[in-house]
Amino acid sequence: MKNAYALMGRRRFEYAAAFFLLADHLQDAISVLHNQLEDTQLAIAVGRVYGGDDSPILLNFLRDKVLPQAAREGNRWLATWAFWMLNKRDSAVRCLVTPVSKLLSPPETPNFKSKSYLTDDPALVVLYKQLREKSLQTLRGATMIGMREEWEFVLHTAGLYERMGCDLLALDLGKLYV
Amino acid sequence: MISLKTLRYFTHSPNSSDANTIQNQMTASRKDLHTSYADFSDDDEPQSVTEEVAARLSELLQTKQIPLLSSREQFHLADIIECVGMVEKHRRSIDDNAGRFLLFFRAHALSNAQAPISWREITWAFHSQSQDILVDLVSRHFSGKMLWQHAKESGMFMWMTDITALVSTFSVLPATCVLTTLRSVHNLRSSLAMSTLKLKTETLWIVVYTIWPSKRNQYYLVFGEWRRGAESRKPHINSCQTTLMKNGGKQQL
Repeated sequence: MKNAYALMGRRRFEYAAAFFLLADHLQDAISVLHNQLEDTQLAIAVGRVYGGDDSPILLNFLRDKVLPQAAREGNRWLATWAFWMLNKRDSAVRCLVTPVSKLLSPPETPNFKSKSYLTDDPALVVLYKQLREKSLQTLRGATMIGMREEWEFVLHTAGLYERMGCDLLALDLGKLYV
Repeated sequence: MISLKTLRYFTHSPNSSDANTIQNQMTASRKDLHTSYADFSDDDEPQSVTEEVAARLSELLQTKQIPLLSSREQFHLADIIECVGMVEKHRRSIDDNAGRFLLFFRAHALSNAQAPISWREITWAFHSQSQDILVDLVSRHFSGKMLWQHAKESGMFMWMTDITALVSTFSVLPATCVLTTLRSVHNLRSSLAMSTLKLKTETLWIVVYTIWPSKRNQYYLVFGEWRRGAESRKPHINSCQTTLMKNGGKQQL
């Protein structure tokens, strides 16, 4: 442990994380990787390999760090992945349609910086359709989305397709939904 | 009903007497509307971009220039077509989601970006039923020498759902990393990968060997493993190397 902190001081963060792991402190190792090294993927990978997919430390990390990050960035893909890992499959479906920040407690303030119009990816609708039919829990998640909200989501996606120059896809989507 | 334009064609054209059947009328009106496409017929055009079509298209793209596209854009188009062709090749052995991942993975590799693949692609692969094939294709893409940066680029430790396969893939990482460590003394990821797998001795060895060459003796004293005389140190390191090689697979040092 002393070694790990010494290494932190020397800014050798990978080695520090390695020493934390040697001392069986997964929690510290993950937070070094995430905070200092800013390598979220490595943090998650180490968590999965070391503790397994249902290790409470990994799940806490996903809940406390990854999901808020997804909410801040408006990254629905990351959010749906994290919810699925957390075994909250209903939320994994819901976050494709409703803003991610609304599903977290306490709700995270999304950043209102201007984004590209492609922040909302039209392919979300494909995943939404796929996931909602996957299991009972996902279907329950889908039913928690209001009819109106869903319709607006479809319309929004159709709008995106149109803006991308894929008018036919937009039309097809609208037709399929109605 | 015959449209106005067809009528006009009938009155002005010398061939009007030939245009007897409805089929002929239709081609005639088409001829009138787009004379430059008169000989164009799309009957024998394939319905989708198959592997052969992709190959033919990219061949054409190499020889011909498309108007209004810069050469850069044309290269990009050729890349996309190549990706689609590649996915088509594997189409029968993978499901749709895996196909989506593969398409963008290939495009990502061609774009030469160092940044990891986006979470969208990770999610596609995550919900795919053919992950074992994907893992195989990805590791073949990096010609079997996977380092953490490659694994991160492909996001594979995020999307693999089979935890046993995940661990065994991860355990290949240190092997490749250690080898590079020995060559270029500062590959830091290796020790991390090792201690994740609880291979303590090797980790310590790497740490000692790489960052504190000057303090080596001190560390030999700290860790019981290493509390050996200066004479026996060398053989021990050698034995460590052999265990590493055993763990690590077939690569030569």
